[in-house]
Amino acid sequence: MTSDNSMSTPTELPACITRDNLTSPYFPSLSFARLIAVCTLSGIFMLTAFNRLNHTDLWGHLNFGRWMAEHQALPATDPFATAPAATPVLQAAWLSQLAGYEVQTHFGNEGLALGHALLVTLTAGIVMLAAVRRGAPALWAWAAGLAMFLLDLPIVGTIRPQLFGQLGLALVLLACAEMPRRTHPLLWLPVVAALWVNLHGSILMGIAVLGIYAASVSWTAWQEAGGDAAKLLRDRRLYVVWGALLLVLAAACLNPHGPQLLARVLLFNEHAALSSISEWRPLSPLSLTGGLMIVSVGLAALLARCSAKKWELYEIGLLLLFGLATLPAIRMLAWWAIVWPVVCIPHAAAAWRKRLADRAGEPAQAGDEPTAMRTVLAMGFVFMTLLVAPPTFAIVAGYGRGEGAITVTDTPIYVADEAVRRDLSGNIATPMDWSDFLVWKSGGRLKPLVHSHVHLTELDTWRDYEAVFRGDEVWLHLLRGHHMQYVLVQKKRYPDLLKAILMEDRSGQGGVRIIYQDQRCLLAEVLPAKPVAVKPAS
Amino acid sequence: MLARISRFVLPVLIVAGALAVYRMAAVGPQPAAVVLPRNMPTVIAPRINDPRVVTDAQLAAVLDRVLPPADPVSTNNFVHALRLWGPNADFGDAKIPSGRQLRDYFLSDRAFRRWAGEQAPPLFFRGRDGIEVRSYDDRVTDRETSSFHTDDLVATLAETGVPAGAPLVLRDGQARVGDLLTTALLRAHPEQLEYEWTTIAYARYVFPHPGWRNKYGEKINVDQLVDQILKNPPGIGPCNGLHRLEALVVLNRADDEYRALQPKTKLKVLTALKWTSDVLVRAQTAEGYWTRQWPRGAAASQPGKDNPATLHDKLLVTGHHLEWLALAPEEVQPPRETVIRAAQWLARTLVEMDQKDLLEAYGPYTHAARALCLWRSTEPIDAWKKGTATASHQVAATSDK
Repeated sequence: MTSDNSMSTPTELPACITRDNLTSPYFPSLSFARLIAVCTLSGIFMLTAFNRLNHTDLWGHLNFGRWMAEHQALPATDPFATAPAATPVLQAAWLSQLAGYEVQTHFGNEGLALGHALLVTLTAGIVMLAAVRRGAPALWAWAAGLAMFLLDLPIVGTIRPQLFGQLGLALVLLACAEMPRRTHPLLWLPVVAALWVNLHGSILMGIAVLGIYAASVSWTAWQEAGGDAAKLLRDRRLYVVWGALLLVLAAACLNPHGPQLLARVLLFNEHAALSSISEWRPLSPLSLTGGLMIVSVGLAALLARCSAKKWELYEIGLLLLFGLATLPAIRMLAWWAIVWPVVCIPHAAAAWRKRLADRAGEPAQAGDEPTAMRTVLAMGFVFMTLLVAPPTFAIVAGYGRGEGAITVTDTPIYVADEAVRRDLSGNIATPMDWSDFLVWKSGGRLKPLVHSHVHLTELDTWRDYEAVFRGDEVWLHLLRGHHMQYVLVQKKRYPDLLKAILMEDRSGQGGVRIIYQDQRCLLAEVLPAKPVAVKPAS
Repeated sequence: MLARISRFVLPVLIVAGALAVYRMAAVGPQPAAVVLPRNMPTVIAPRINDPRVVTDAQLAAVLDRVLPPADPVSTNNFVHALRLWGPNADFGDAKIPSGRQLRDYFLSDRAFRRWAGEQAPPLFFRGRDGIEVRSYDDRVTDRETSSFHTDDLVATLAETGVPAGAPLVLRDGQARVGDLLTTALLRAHPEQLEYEWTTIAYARYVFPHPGWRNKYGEKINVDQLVDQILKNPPGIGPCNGLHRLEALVVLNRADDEYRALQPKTKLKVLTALKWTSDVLVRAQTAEGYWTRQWPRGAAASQPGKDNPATLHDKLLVTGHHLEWLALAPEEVQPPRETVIRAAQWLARTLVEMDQKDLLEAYGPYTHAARALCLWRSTEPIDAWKKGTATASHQVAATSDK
């Protein structure tokens, strides 16, 4: 027989189940909101880590990094192209180029992939924190991280110095969320700015955000002071926000160009060749970028109506500035992807709360007591993420994926390997997006006509490059005019040039000699023109 | 303080410890990139002996036209001669390289230099990736003594039964045929222009081992190889793309022995062979030959001004087609009449054509001669000797009369 007192009522669980053996002062406990945040960041890390190394300017930046490491100096002009333009190199990303090169040298391509994933995850973490500091409930932090990742999709897959810029912007937004109540950003913001200005030339984005924020705070203070200048001057908030702006401006001058860098960055996109680069083109509504932009703008408009939270002047200013800036150049989406979640997610949370309140009266405050079990769950999630993400698995396993598996399929690894095997050196006309990798693999012995840093190319050279790869009749004349020793052509992208090279090779006229072919490309040696026999004057 | 530090450090240590345990328990060392499971290459012998395709006398006469040429020395001619005649051929004539000499040309740099000259750069050398082959495109000079097709040399060594462990005497040391094969497989990649001979070498030395990992870290398996072969439109590629069909039948025959292809892949192979066979029936000309236009089917059966064909093209295409058909399974064979008409045209033409023209394209024509031998399931040297003996006997009988 079982005694009654040994039985539990249906609502009471036995002690062996309810006993929490995990909770201890030596082991952390996690709230549900933080568990979700950890899962979100793990997911972002994992998804980013699956990106392969892009074939475009990543290798160009590494080339610059290698040049700096080898020469212990910054290049004054383009050190890679056949005939570099007189345009001086803008030293706005030298630190990230050098850092990228050092990471590649010491940790290989897997190190680059890991650094990429860590950088994006860190940025997402800062964005989530900034959204929470701006008033979003902790349980909504995941939404900010996810929104950033989704809006960033067209860009986030490529390792570029711009990723550092995105991190810088996220930190500035975090600083804006903290100020003026707290002043600690005044300590670290100048450090961020000094690093940012040497890591990527987008420091103006941070300055713009701080400027708008300072103006907004000033306007609010002016209204609160009721036009009383003396009262306004005593407002501590103004000193904090304008002080922060001034400190950032001062720190932004700590770069190889000094204050001139800011002006030069503004003029950067004036090179005609940049219009040929997809990321500098205007936004198309039919593209993924356009779709993301339309959806995010639509949601922002909806939140403007539904949010119970007051829209501050600087929030509107940020959305307007970065929204409009994205229209003429899709690469600006990178900044929109950071600004939008920080501004809009707190409003989305407020709108959601209002909706719940409208439906069921005042919503009950859900308890979110931290527990150690959630920490264990988070650790399990992190553990699985580290095993599934290729670069961390490479560390765990002790071997990497190999060049073919870690680079995107557009990377010319086979022809580059063949060029190295043959020890080719000299001038080469190659598709712009392949040039960087060829320079990288050949250790700078191959000098491309044009590479992805097109803003360093003379306009005439750029036009000749376009004419050659269009397969214009003068292609061989132009190649010889630029003293090209080799020409590399992608078969599908440049069928006219391919046909011209094949015909020239088979004609026996000695213009070119094919030295390597695979299914994707053809590499030919450009032979010098035969001297024309001139009949001596009698 | 200790509790605070512990709260930060403990989770990190636990995760790191779990990863370390996982590594020890579940992650082994990286498997070898290339595994050579056996020493001897798979023998793929012919199965049909049909004298209606070509008679003994015709075969002997054809073979007599394609004896190994030694002058001028050409690696391409030597490899084709070795492939046709095999390592046991002996013609009893010091001017004609024997099968052993042909094989040694590839296995020993000393033998290579005896034929190609002391100054000839080595055919095989220790390169960055292992034992590399001097290819046609590597340099402008010495092209005659270079390899013309990617991995055709190692594939031919496989076809002629050279073990993977056979020594390969280099100018600067010694290696093994297996090293040559390993380098070929390491350098193979999905964008390779010509992968037929790589596939044949793989099929004979490595299959049924499912694949390998190349130097770029990419895994290449037999299904990918088949897809690569079937990806390109028929008729496009070196030798009219017909080496691809040879690679398919070799792989299929190797699978008949090992039963390792996935049913889906096997079906793809057989379907492609059957499709080609059906097209060939429609594309055959009245005389019996095929042209480079064969993928067009019936439209190719009447060469005219619109689609003229040179004798070389006819011989090349007809010879290569008969070669793979000889090794193809029964279920994909065209009607025997189609084969007989093609073989008879081939035999007649090879016997009648100018010797100078024949030597200028010796390589492709050996495919034709090999095809005829395969259809009779006979060793070329035996058929040739038999024919020579018969001819001598007839000459002697005539003299006696």
